Amino acid sequence: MGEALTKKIDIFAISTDPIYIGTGGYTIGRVDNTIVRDPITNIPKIPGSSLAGTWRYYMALKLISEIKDKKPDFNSTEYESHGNLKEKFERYKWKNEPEEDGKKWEYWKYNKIARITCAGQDESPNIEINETPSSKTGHCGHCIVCKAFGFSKKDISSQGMLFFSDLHILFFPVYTRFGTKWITSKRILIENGLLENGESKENNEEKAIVLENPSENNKYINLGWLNLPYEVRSINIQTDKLKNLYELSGKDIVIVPDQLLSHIINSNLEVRTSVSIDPITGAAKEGALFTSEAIPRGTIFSGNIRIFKRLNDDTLPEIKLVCEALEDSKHFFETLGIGGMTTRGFGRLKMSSLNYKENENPASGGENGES
Amino acid sequence: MHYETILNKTEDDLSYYIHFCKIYVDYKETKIKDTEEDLKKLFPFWKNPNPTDKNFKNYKLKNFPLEYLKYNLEQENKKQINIQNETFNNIAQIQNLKEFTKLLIPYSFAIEAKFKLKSPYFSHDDDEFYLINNPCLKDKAFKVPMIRGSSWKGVLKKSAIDIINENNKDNDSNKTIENLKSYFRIFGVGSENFRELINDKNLDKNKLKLFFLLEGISIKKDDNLEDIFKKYQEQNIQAQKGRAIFYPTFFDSLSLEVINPHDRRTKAGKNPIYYEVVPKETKGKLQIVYIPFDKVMAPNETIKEEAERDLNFLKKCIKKAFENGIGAKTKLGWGKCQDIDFQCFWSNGDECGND
Ligand SMILES: [Zn+2]
Repeated sequence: MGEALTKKIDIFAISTDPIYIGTGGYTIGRVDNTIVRDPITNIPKIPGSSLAGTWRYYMALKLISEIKDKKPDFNSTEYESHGNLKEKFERYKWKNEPEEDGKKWEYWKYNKIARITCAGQDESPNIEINETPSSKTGHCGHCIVCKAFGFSKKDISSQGMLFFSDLHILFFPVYTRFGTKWITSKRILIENGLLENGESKENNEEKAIVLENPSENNKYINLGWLNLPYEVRSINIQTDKLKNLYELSGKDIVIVPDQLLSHIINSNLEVRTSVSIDPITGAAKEGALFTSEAIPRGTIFSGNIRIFKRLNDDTLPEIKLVCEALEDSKHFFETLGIGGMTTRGFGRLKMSSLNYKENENPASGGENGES
Repeated sequence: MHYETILNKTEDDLSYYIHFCKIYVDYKETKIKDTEEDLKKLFPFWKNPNPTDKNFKNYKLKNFPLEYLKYNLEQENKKQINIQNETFNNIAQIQNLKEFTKLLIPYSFAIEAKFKLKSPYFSHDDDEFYLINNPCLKDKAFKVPMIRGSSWKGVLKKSAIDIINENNKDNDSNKTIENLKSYFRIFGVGSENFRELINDKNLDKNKLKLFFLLEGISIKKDDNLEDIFKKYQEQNIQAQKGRAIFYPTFFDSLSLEVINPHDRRTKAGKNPIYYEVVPKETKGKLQIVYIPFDKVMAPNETIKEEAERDLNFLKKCIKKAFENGIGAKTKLGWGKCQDIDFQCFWSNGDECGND
């Protein structure tokens, strides 16, 4: 691999529905649907792989709905007769669309053969990359979706330009006697660069920290069944990073000891009891009551996307185009959602603006590197 | 020991009220023995220390807060608890319907139907540790009373089947077929959706067969409906999920309702049962987003035609659902809604019209 550009984009998100991303594990008889957790902290998370798979579909959906009437006919006999594939991408023009490369991500020249099957599992991995234009199924291997998220054909494969971190819980909503509060811990605030310098990193006492006193008469705050003593401390948490997502103010936040965070989160998950239905008769199966757990509505997540581009490879879209494609398709998380049971009111997620600045100093946000 | 957090705010602040019902049930004593003064110390919310044409000394101590609450609600015209749900609506509902819809793919649309409850709404919450036996469903972290998106979907599906049946009686085959298509497009092609159709005694099985024939499914003489449906499902493998997404509704008040069941034999009244409900006159909004994601490769005219049909069908379903009622106890007339405002936008920004 030659020289490459990389860029890191922070993402924040808030669940507008309970979110269920199952581990797929179950036991016979009684199915208890558990959600994916971080193996070290035991705190639920949204895996980067779910994020990537879902986003791939949403980008393809947005792309196809825009270009489907404007694609040149790659299967015409004229196309088959002359020139190599690269020349054809140049020569075949979009229908009713001025050819201005780089103007809109949807009209990047290699999108001319994009199709909805560029999302999802590749149904035709055994054809060669040059044959994909005449095939109707599978990943095309050329368009911005395939280049950004990767593809694998008989003769060539690419792991793509995008790497999604897991989405971790940044602030978790718990109902207290002072109303809904969002809990977090010092470790999490520091990892996300939200804690002002100078604040001690230690928080080993069995005490919660609030930024404003919710009541003069109280010394305890209940977080679910746990009653914790609290102290009031003026700490500056940089919630302005979340501004375009949700206006969280200091009085909404409770910092709990790191060693209690997982316990509090896990005992305040949304738990729903359902009945298994026999798919043939439609009757409830005997003893088939099962519970599903989910991350509740109003949880705030953080994570990042790394974008990676080899220099001097003009078969790859510019980083800017990929960012625009992500930005224009992320709103589908607010409607079609992520994870399981999305038809039953689970899985909607609102994502912050990706905040991509083209000429940004690489030191502050992006970085140059080699790979 | 003092239960200091109740304060004087029972009537107007939900968070205190919930705590009061949920957390402070942990009393050891069985009957109230304390003097009135002691009780006032124990329950500082008890600002009017004389709820007592009823004799509070007969109450079990752990029931006292509830009895107090019931008494107050009954005395003062079913007083209700008001809930600040502004913050919460910002999280869970679409704020600018028109701008939001513009981001979606062509021939998507979004509906916002504002309504007023004509009768109380109740849906049972699974929350186990609650002083009131029949608590109303609330969001987990915000404790705002709500109608789940999945409940809206369920009640609208039932309305859809009612409408299909009415067309059946009119003997209008074309309409039935078109409505069945809308039904599957809107709600999905899951076997549960199909079962709801065939379990309904009134639905004309021949029309279902006709529908499948028109959808290109060959039918043998001995095929039963389930087998035919399986073929249809396989054909529509890309479109298992419905195109409509149903958003939850949140309310801003709670109250208590009493039901007095009567013994069927003796006609005597049994103990009254209390339900925590969203009271009538409370306003809410139903939001539905429709995205024809499964047909993105189809010609625009096809998608347009389907979307327009589905919108019309969905509008009828909403009207019927409002009449039939939502939630539990609809047989008692609960959960009926009155339409107060209807907004709808296509993805190009055009209004969908209110015909
Ligand atoms: Zn592709």
